[in-house]
Amino acid sequence: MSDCRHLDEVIAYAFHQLSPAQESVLKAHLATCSACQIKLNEIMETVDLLGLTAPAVAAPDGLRDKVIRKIAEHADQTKAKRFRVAPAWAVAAAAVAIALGSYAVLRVEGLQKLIAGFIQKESAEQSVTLQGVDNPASARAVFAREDGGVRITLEAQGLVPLLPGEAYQLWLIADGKRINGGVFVVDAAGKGGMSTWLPGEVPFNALGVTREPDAFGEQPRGPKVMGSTT
Amino acid sequence: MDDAEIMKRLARGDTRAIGNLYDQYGRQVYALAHRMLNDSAAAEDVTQDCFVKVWQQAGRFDPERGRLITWILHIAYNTTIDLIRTRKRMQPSRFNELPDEIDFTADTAGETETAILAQQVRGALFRLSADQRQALEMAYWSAMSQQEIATALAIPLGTVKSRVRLALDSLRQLLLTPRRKEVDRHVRLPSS
Repeated sequence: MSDCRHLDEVIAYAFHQLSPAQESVLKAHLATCSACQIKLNEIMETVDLLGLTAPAVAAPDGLRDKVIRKIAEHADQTKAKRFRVAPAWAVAAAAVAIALGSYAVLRVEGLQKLIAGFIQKESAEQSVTLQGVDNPASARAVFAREDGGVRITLEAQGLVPLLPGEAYQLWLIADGKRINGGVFVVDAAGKGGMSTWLPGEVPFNALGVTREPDAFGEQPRGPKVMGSTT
Repeated sequence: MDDAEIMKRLARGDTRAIGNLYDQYGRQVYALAHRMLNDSAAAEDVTQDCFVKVWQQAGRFDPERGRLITWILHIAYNTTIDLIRTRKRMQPSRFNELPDEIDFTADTAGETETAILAQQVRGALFRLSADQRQALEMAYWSAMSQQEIATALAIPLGTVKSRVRLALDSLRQLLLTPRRKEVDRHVRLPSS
């Protein structure tokens, strides 16, 4: 496959040398140019190796402890976001279609039965089906109680392959708030999945998946691509 | 504990495994950030932020798609670039050649393998022409735009683009072709 005339911009993108406006233009091109997608992956494989050549310098004493403490703080913040399910609230919320800015929830009325069942059942597993928003994608999310929390496993298909750096992200919507349910990527056929564990109770009255510019957001920033159905 | 086990534990939310990960790769992360920022305190901040992101995204790492060290350094590089942009502090590029030897004392088997890989990359860099190596290093380490590099080197923008493009092609040939992967296996340390 020959190189596209946008190769130099692809290289500049790999080195973070483009302006935000230029990045937007290039991303739009990458979505349609498989030659540039392949080239970008090749370039990133090489570029990522350059970090190994940094001259060695001793890390400061105590940095290891700081890293561990910082992660412990983040872990505590995650655990602090606990909700308790109120069946009456969940059923009422499930009957309402909620528009949340750029993140619209679709067809949640069928969830009331599912949520009630999730609360009442003592066995661990419940599953939720998601459908694409103006696209043929679909997914199944399974929730299973595990070690005092909830294991969420998602399998998706029919999604558009991502640009380098992007990620799909699952959101649990509860009482107008979005809870990060995990990120995942897909293969060239649009199939992908993830498995994540959240502590404590994990209430929700809707699920959604957005396409994010990176995997580090704690609130949706990209367009919604899938939403939960019955 | 090997990389796969560490990442599995992190993906399950076991924060205790982060200490093991830091022991394997913390120095490289700090060294990368320090190289770009020339600021110990800022490099510490980047190192902490990088490992938080690694912990948060542990479930995303796919060993089939590449080495853990390059995945972590990719996160570290992006985190450092974000800090540079946030602080709007463009460090002057370092025109210095890389030292002939990396003073790297490996304390773990993981660090030893990484040191070997680093030497392979350095060796490949030194097989580039001086012009190509300079353009590539400035593009990666200095966070300068292509035009800024052209101005700094007093050469046309097209020449910068050409040198970087050729350098990347050559490096890929030297490091990532099947022939080189065979060399990788030959020098890989036996597992203990």
